Amino acid sequence: MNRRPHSHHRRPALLAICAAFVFATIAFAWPQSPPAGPAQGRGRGIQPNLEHPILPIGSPAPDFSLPGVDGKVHKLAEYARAKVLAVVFESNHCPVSQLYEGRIEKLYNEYRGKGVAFVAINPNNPKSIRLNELGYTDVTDSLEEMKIRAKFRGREWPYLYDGDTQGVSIKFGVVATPHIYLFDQDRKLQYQGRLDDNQREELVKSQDARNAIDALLAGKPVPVAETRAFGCTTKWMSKATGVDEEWAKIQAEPVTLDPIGVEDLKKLRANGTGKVLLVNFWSTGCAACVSQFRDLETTYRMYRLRSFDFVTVSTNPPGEQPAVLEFLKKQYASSPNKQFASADTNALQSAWGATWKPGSPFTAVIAPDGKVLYQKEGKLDILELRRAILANMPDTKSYFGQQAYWQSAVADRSKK
Amino acid sequence: MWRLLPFLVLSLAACRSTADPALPLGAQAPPFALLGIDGKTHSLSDYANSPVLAVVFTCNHCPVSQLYEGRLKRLSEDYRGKGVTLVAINSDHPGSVRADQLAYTDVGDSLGEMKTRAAYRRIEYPYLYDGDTQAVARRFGVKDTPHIFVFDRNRTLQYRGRIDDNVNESLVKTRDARSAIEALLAGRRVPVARTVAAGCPTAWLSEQAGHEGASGDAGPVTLDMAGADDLKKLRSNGTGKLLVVNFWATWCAPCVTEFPELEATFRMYRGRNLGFAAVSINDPEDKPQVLAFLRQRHASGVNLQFGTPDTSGLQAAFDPLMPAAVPFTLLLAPNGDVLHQQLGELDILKLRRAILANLPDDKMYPGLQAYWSGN
Repeated sequence: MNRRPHSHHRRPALLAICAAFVFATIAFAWPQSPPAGPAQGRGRGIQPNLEHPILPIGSPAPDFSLPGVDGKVHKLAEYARAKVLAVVFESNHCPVSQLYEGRIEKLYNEYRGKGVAFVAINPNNPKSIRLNELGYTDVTDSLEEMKIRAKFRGREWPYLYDGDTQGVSIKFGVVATPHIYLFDQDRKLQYQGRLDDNQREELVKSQDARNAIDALLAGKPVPVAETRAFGCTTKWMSKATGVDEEWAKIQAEPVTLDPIGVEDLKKLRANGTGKVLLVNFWSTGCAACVSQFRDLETTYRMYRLRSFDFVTVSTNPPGEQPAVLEFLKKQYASSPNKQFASADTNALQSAWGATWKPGSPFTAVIAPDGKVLYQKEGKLDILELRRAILANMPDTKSYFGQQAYWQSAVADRSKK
Repeated sequence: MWRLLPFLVLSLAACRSTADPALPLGAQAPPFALLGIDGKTHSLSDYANSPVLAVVFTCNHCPVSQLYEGRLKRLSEDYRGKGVTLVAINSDHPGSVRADQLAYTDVGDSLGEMKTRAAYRRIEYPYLYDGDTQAVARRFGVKDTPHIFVFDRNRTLQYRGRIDDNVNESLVKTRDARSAIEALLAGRRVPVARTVAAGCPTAWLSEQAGHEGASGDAGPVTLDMAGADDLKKLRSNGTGKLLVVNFWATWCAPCVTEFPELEATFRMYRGRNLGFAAVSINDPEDKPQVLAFLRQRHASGVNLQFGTPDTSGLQAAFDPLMPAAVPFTLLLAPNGDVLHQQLGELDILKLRRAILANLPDDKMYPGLQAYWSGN
């Protein structure tokens, strides 16, 4: 197979030539059919996604009619007057999509006055996303949660939901979020692929989407018409997702409960785990504690693949151990669970270093160095808690800017 | 001498589970009540009306059992109309099958995996699970799969042993089980009543394989930084083996979730002609996290990481047609042909079956490649 680099705008033609060449080669090399094997008949190179092929360059824009975060239904025809239509597939949960949100916003602000319309569509089916795929997000990908995210981040460009049927996403052949498609005035596809060539914004060399928009506005041919979309693969409802398997595994995880005394509470407070630590004090008799417990467990299951840990501490007196354990088992609470080793609540609270009303939930997020990053007495706003965690999880270089995404949003919100 | 007695007793006790004498000819069929792949319990008495009952011990993982599966299907279909019932029993204890004994299979030997195999291969005869207690295997005195027992109308044993005389079906001369069934149906004496069954030894509960896989990989985990040339070389696969290439990243939940299954897959087949390269597309500065992840999982294949932050350029160096998202997994032929590919979280069974369908047959088990290609 010819794998020399070649200019992208001529790729379809070159591909056809390549394919013809490959077929000719196969025909000459194996006049008889090759040995049996389902995989062997499929060709020699990497195949495009045959289940959901990408919309070819030159195709007319697929029609759509989808609900948006503004509560209205949006259709392709609404944007008929725009010189250029940009359809960007984005999602809530995907960290790459989050990292590109600011870049999409910049494009939107810069080009909306120049006749470019922007429409974002979330292609993901929320039921096809596992909890452990939610490690970088406060919410998942339903329409209601898109509304929450749009409000939280102050997003202004339309954000539509296609996750229930994925009919539009199938027509586009969305590979990942983010994935951008640019249509000219006649609504013919002129560019599809990535926004730019590096998810670390400071290392970007090629602004592929911006270059394409500039070319279209100037009436010039798009320099590179197709690039590879980089991000989180589309969560197709047609694919096996492992959602049920994940839940079955969670239910099979062992649930333990150990007493915790003054010394161990001090240690817990100092946080020697090297991770961001969430600690929740609760009791079986506290209605607020019990009602928010499930959300806390979900939060743990979302973030535990990262540098994050969760410890629950029951403030029930030691004699109530059986009831505490029974509750924890019902919740499949598989993180470390502790219970006050004595009935001396005052001594134990002061070992932790805070006082709160007994019978009330108390929640804290502790940095690896022991600093209190967040704490709350009483009923939690689970999204506020999740955002506090996300804003304090250290970035890796691969996802440089993730922490800032959550920090800036937290800051903006507190200003408002 | 007397001091040795406890040891002798213990040895005898240990032997008991594995060395029960095989059921003698003329013996009554031992009763059983076992769960089948249909979710129902099957008992000996369910088949009381069948003039002939054939009980065959077989399993998922054994390549010989796989090679006889088609013959069992035909046996079942050919004689069903004549009142003969064929019942298959898997007596292997799943926890006692070592990773390297899974070199010819997509799944292990649990009841759930029997259901998977039966659905994949469209097995219609009853397929029952005895692996938790192995009580039925001990009553029959089975030591190998496949091993067939044929009972007459009174449920006395009339034939025991192999299905036929050659694992390679094209070389079969005597079809012993079939002859026995024919004789019983015709009211004749069974011509040869005992033969030796050869295949895979039963995986006994007492021989727990222990921890799954990783234990044997205490060696150091290596991680090399890969540049454009290394990736081009990887794409052309000069290893002389089938090569699984998996692109992943520590931040990618599907990647992290599927990684143990990929490692297990490599441990299953690495004794055959298979290599495994895991390529992290993490930024080079994430090397400590990548290495920590690999060490935790005893990643025993070739481990590479993108050597520059130019993810897109390095992906293009590997292959201009490579999708940019991860996980992305390829099965490469020794000549670099793409035999199988999956974007997004792996369907691990699809990958295993593609590997099995492309690993060349060895002389011991001719026809296995066809078995895995045939569905």
